[in-house]
Amino acid sequence: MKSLRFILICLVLFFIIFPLFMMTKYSLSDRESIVTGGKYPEPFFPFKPNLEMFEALSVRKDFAGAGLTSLWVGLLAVAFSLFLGAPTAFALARFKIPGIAILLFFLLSVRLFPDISAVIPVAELLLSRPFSLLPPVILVGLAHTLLALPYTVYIAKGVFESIPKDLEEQAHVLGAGKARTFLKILTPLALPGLGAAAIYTFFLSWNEFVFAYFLTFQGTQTTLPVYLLRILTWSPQKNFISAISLVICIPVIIFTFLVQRYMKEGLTAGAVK
Amino acid sequence: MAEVRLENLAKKFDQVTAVDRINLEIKDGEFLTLVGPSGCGKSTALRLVAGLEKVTSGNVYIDEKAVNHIPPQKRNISMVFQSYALFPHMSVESNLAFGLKIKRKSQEEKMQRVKWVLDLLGLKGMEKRLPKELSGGQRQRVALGRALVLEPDVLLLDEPLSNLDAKLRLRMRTELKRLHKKIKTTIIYVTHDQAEAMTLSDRLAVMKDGRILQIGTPQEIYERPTDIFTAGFIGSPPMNFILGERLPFVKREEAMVGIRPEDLSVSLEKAEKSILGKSSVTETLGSDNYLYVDISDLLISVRLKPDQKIEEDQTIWLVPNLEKIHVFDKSTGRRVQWAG
Amino acid sequence: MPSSIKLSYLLHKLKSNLFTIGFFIPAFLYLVSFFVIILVFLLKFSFSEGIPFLELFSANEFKAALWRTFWFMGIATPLQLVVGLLLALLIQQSYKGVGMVRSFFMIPIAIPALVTAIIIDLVFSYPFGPINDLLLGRHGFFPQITGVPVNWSGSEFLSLGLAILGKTWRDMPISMLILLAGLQTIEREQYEAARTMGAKSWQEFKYLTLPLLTPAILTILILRSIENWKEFIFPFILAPAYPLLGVLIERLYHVEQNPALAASVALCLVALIGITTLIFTFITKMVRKYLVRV
Repeated sequence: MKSLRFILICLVLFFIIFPLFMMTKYSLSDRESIVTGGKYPEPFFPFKPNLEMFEALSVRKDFAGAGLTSLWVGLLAVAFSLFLGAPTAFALARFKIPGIAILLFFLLSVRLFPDISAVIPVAELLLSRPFSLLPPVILVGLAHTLLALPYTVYIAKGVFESIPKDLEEQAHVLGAGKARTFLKILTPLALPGLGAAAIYTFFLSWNEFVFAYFLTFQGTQTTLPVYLLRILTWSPQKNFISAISLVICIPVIIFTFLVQRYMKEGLTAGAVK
Repeated sequence: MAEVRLENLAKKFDQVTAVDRINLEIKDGEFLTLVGPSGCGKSTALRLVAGLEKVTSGNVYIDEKAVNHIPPQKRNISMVFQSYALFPHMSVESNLAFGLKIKRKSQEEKMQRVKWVLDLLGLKGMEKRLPKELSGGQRQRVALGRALVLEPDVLLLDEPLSNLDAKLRLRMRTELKRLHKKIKTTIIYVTHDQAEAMTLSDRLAVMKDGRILQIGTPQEIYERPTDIFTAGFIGSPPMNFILGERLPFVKREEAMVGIRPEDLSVSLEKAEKSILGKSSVTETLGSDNYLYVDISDLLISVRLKPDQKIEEDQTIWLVPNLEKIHVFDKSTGRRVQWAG
Repeated sequence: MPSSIKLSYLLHKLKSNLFTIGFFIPAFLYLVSFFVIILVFLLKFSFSEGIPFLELFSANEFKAALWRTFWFMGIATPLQLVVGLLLALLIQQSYKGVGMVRSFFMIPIAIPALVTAIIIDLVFSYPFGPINDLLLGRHGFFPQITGVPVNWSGSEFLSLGLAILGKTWRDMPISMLILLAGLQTIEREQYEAARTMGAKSWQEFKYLTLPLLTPAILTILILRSIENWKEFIFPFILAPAYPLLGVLIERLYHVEQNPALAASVALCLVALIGITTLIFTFITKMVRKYLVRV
């Protein structure tokens, strides 16, 4: 039983690592390791590994521009969705609103619309006046807020529910108003949880392709994933594509590992009576 | 029905010794309780008997047959878990019949046995309900019934009453005792509640740090605890402990003297062989009243006579019943002989 | 009289909860307005300029895309369920290094779908690429499978297969986490109780794990089928020659510059998702009934 589990884990890990390994390998490859002309098989390790592609990327203005755009769009989406979502989450968590379950379902159901269906009206709307006068960063940020907001509300609702109501009542008894309680007592306590929601939103935006693609279809300024697709249409070499891909992935992979550490405890707790 | 014998039984988890070479014989039809504070290894010992944990060393015998390598389902034991572990997606009836279904009993026998258990535990009319539709006490009875329906040789109960509220716990205690009288199965019962252990068991084994400190009938353990831990653990309110040097009449300086609250009487005048103290609060339980007495830095509890009333902050003398005091060696904690 | 009391009571209620309502409104308004805009635009476009719908249903391109999407959904959904269950079972027990394994199992979801699709495209490139090298027997350790390199993107079956592979790879952690949560609601004592009553491991799986996991499994079937119906990125990159509905929408909008037709396909997709969800919800109810019977 145990050895079967071990073999299966190894197989799955191989299956997961393989594409990532290929991406890394290609990004470090020299020309001979990629353009084989069919004379010899592609090596599993590059003949002469080098950082040429990353050096080439580092001086490209369009690449840096796409990176900055991605960053700004992500931060805007985080700011918008927290600003809009946190108070709503608080209201949902704390006060008895009739039909709350239906409301919550409705909030989440916006996400049941296929992105590829929803993007047509959103693009039609945002790419026409007056919205089209806004810079593309804001347009994409607004669209990503639409995508992230339901999750933000959902996560933040859980965060506020986990804060004991006693604290709030104590603040009221001591004379603090509702707004002050929210800002001075609840928000600081909720910060770590809201931070999780913010990170989630940021990386949702960082990885998002469809809305960014449709909203920046004609302009020059765009986010990293769309930039990657545009590069693809010039049919560049494998090492160049892989290098861009790797740069996009690295922050997300690191983040995933960091957050895992906090999730792990829940898994191992309660194993011993 | 069967006898169970544990022989030098030990269980280690990594570095932690949960059960440390215990020896125990449980007679056929006996109700034996393993009692001790949490973490003393009593649950682990029970799980070793069930076969849910692998024995590190020593042996478990059921009816003189070593069962160390026999899986739980072939030991003909049944177990009731603290959480009841009812299957949430099955009705009461399905839960009760589960073991019989696994053992491929005929439909007829299944129905008959389930009906027997439903009658026995007063669960009639609940057959179709799901566990979540039952009260705590009913769930507890279904868990018990699910174990009994298999007619096990040995019934293992792991803190089965600890999830019930106080009142229900008392009622279920009585019911369990009656049930045991009726079915006469060998029962091993685990609890941290000394009162439960005292009222239910034929014999009890007091455990601490993986070891059995004392085995005996409730009476024996109450009247002659062999060590200081057992003395303090059994009985409520617990026994008072006073250093020997403060009781000149005991004449043993290196001793710890234990006196139960009911073995002390209060005198308002100076008496011989007594302890001087100052009265503090009185706790009224209705039938019994306990007075707390300050003797310098120690608070001693004393059971008052039914109509006795003592004001606070009075100087009083406590007179122990010398025949009933317990003397323990201060360093080993073992009981020492003392002729009053 | 009573109605005015009721009114004043309502007003009072409203006033005392003004703060709450004020808190609640911004995000709600944002989502609702988008929701309405999306729906109105889709409907308006679909039913304007003649009746694109009729045109649509007779178009061979649409029919082919619909059919492909159906198969894509029908194969990818159960596949993702099985893979998710396998992964969840692998990290459910506690053993040394389970936290690390779990972290690694989470990686795919972190990789942008576009990147995953592009890497798969590179690995399966034609005529010279790592996978073709393997299949041609050009590495000593692997037997030759084929004499000519496989043109993955040139075959409907293979290119959509790659899209399913990519989608399954990337979304593994989602199904895994839902099933893991389901597995963790089953208490260890329930398994132990079953064991003391004589159940073997396959009986535990059949009588306990599977029925208790049913809610999680059905949740996955619903969520995954929605997700697979609306898939766009993987087929867009890996099977551009054989468009699914999502890819067709993009093409109609960008290449053919026909927003009305794109919107009608988009509306169709919404309808299909609605119907699938209804069917699965119905199945859920039936299965629940059957399970309670035992």
